[in-house]
Amino acid sequence: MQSDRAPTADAWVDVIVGLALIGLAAVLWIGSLSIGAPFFDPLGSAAVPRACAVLIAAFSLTMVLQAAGKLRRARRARGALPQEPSAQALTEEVIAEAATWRRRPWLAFAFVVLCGAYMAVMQWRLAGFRVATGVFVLASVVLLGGFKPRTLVIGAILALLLAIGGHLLFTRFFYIDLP
Amino acid sequence: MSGLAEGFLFLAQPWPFFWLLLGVASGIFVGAVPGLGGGMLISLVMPLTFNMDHTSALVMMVGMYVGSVSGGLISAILLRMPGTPSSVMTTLDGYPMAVNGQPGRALGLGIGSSLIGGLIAGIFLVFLSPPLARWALAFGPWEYFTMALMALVMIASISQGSMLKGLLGGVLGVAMALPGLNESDGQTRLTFGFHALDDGFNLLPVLLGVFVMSQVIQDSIDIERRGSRIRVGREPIMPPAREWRRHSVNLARSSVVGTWIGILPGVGASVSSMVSYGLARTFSKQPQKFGTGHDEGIVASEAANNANVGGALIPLIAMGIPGSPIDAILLGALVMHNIQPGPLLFTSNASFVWALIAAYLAANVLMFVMMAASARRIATVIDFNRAYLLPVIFVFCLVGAFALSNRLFDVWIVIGFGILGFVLQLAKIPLGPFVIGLVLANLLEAQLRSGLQLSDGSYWPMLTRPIAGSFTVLSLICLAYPFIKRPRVSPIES
Repeated sequence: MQSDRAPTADAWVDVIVGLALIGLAAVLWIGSLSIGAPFFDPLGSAAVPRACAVLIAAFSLTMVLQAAGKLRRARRARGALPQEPSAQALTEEVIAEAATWRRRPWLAFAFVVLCGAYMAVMQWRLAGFRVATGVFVLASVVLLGGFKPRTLVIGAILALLLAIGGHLLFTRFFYIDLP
Repeated sequence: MSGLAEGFLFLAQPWPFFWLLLGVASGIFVGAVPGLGGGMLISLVMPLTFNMDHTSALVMMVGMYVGSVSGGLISAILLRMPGTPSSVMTTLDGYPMAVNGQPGRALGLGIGSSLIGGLIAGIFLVFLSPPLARWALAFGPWEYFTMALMALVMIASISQGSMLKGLLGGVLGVAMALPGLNESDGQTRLTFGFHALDDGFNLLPVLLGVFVMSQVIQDSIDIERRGSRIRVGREPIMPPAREWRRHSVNLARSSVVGTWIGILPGVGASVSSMVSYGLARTFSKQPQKFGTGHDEGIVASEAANNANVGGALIPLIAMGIPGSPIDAILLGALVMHNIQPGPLLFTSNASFVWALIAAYLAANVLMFVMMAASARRIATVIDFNRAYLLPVIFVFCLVGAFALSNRLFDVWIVIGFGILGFVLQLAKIPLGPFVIGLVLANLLEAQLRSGLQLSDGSYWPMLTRPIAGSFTVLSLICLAYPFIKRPRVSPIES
């Protein structure tokens, strides 16, 4: 994962994720309220969900408070906090030093949306596996690799291979039914 | 030993040998590609093995496990991009040695150390697993509950990063296993009216999401990432025998450390290689050379990470407790193939167990032969454009998840847990504890319920029963450890 984020960015990620997990804990707790009382069972079906909800809330709240403390200290210091050395951070630094490259978070978002669209097409029976896969693979290769002749050609070959060859392989060799 | 001989005889048959060979070869290749890994490969292949003989399927997956841990050294040394987390320490000395004009030697040291580490762990696997399984037969519900709890606490406290986040990951994993039918009363819980959740989240789509889809998302962010590749000449890569004698102490120590860290439930190969690297440096006559291309660093890291694989198989085979996150996937594979993990496996399915152990030993030898012969060639093909690979991986994820129950809901689970896994990693919440928690959740709840029924609702047996009490005390020590240890300089910092 990225190691060259400012520590304040790490703290904001902790705050956001922590709050989301507190929300998840609340959902777990609310869900456990509808679980019936146990018969002849000292534990009951609601005990573990409630214990998980409490623990997730407690750990997440601690994470949020720790992150809030870091942000407060950063504001007082009027700059980024020095990164706390840890084995994880140092090993990530080793990996990050290998090469410099431009990160593309929006590309990843677009790819996930494309994956969702691929699924939705088959879910709503707009196309079967072969057509949907062919279009998905070609579109993904172009999205990730750029609209260049080489990626178009390789993407088209991959699309055909997976759509037709893949369908044959999975249905005839592995006996897997496909949408 | 007759069981082991039967295991080798099984592997000598054409099809089992083919599956083992395929597993090791694919594991090496996938392990060498940065961004892919053994967990991803095994998760992707699992659904394709539904119609296979279960012994051959698990033999192939063990081969993938061994191959992937070893394959990571190729990109670590030649691209300065560790193919797997367990090869990070190999990068520290492997890449500088390669830059200094000895890439072949670095590869040879890594490959040879991987073999020796793997075989030493294999000896422990052969001789420790049966008595451990017999000992575990005496376990009752409280022993299983406290041991599973210890596994979660250990991986949370020993893994890199914050223990708080490790524990959070573990509890999240447990929580994700809760929706669906509760076996104790036959009622569904936490489904919120979604009938698709009546069976809960199936393990395979969750593993595909957490291990594969989250990595796919990360790789698409880093799509422009390329390593600085070093070419390997035609020089022989395997050092002569006299050099290996010089490294014998380091090899033995690193292998034993790797094996015993692997035995600790939940702890993976990356921790083994880090600890061994640190020890090698501490005991070295030339500690200042570590990080500059020193033999001992490569030997320590690679012997330990391969030994960890064998060590981690011991609790899995003997007790049904995963020794590492990848073993958690293997545990899922066992369940999917209707094999009940646990200490009774040795008595109910001894031939299967010995075939797995024989497969582990044989996989190390095959790995050595394949890598010694082809490491140079693998290096030329592993640094390729991921734009072609990521869509293919997602299609395999879709097929794998869909194959389970013929419903696209499972594929949506893959995407959902992929996003969750990515977000957790963004927040530096480790996925190892999450997966261990997910896999052990049902065991934890079921054993706690049984224990409470036997003790009339009392929790005291967690402390008063000797074995359960020992596990509880170890868990408490692990929880308290970060607060009582003195700050230490990591092997990388100094």
